[in-house]
Amino acid sequence: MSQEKGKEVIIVKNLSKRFETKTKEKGFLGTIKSLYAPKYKEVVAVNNISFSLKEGELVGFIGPNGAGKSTTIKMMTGILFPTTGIISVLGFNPQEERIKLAYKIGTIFGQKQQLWYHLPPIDSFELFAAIYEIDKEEYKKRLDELVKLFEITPYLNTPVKKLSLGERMRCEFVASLLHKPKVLFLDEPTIGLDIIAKRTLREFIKKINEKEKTTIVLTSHDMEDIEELCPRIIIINHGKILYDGSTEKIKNKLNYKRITFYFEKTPEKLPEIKNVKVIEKEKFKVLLEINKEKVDIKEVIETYLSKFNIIDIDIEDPPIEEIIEQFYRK
Amino acid sequence: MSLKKYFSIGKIDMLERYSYFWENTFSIFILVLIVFVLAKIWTAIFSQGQTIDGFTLVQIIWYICMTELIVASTSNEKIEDIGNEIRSGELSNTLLKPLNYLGKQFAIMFSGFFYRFITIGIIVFILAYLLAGAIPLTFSGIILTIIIIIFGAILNFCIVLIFAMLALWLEDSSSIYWIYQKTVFIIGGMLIPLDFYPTWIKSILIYLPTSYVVYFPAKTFVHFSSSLFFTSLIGQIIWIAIFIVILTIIYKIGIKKVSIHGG
Repeated sequence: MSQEKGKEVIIVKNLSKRFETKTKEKGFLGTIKSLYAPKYKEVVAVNNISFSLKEGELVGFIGPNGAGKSTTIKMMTGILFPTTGIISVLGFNPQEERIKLAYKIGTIFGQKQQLWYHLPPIDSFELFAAIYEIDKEEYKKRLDELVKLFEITPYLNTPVKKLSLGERMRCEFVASLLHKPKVLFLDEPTIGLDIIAKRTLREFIKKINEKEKTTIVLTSHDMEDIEELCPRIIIINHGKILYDGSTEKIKNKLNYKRITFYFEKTPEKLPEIKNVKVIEKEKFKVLLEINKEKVDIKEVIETYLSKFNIIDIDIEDPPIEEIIEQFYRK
Repeated sequence: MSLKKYFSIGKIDMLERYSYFWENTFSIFILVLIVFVLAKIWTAIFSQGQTIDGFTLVQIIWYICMTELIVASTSNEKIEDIGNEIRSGELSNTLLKPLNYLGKQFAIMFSGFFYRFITIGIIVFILAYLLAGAIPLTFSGIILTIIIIIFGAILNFCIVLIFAMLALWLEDSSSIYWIYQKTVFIIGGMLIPLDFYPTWIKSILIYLPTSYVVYFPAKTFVHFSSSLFFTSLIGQIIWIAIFIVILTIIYKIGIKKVSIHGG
């Protein structure tokens, strides 16, 4: 892969972040107590993690809520101070050189917006051009390029509050890309979007990564985002890295396939085959999970075809959620 | 550091304010009512046509119009937003950009100040003229008074930002801000010029920062003299310097304390 050749743009070594949160005993007395003798509980959000990213890589960060994904991203962007550990992004120390680094990175948080709500996006774009000190000519050229790429010409002069979430997210992307960031942090960029808007946005993310060699760190709850976009995945839970490697590999690691059969008539009894698990059974449909190493898929299909009138067959990989769940259970 | 970007933030904030101009404008009617009632009270007090502590009726009406205008244009409707922004970690939106957080807040407060000062100012000036008639003014007097008003506004911004930053330690700092506002009303000279207080009280009050936000700017307007102008300006600069030092220290400690939520 060409990505292997690039130089390292993000280096994280033995990074930890501990928070102190106030705890309160229940009830009225507890409230009074917490006033004069507050108790603190230490929460370890990120626990001694290390990884590095190369130029042009597109990496997915996944994990359940509170796993430490956003905390890690916030430390990489310099807005949160680590308790211990070393971070280097594009050669900068994010905490000490936050402003210098800010010129080189872009961020999109799905749940926060940076565009001015009552004004059309073009006003916000102009503001960002000033904030990032982009030269007038260059800004014009770049805006033109991005407006075409993200197809937002019709929304440029509509107040942001009147745009749909999908349209708004596209404008958010343009706003974050005006200054040609070398690294892009996307925290849940597809949250709340419908399937079509999600797909469109994924296409855009791919294009940016390919066209501009932007290194992208993506977190998402939507595994499809990660499966489709990220060749590399970092699974994080309880502040620790559970897996760091290729997305493909982790899917193959389990060696399971899922087959759905659609019947013409409701079958009376399903055949029992060893190492084949029935996951879901409906009137005209059955979903099976097969261990590829132990059973031959062909065999299973043939058995079903010989016994029933099958209208349709779907074969797919198990969703990555389940793969991760297996990690979480450990 | 380029100032241009902060100017652009002020500009866009102003644009946004004008995009819901009418919603903002209704509050002016309350102000008109208050000024009207206060003017009636002072008219009753001055019924013999006398001068009290150097103020004539015309001057006192213009004085209260000015104090109301100053308080209305410097009062920060966004203090709770700033507090929430700090507590919830929303301020990361600013920190992710090549911006100074305090600089951005100053830009927004300035835009709010000018927006209100102009819109409310037009109405208040008409009102004062209708209630009291003309007051002798000179062109240079007006310009210098505006300078004092702007410095007063900057001083107020510093105080407000310190209260907002306290949100990092307190659950809710808006109550302290509320107390501050009421303090300004009474000992800052909004309702009564400090000259009307007993001499020993006045001699203490004129050194407090609240007087430099309201009393001195309004008095400079109605009683313009170059000595008053310089007294006001020097006091303001000293207080601004003190508060900027405090603000910077609080910010430096606070920003490390910020535990931006989410995991």
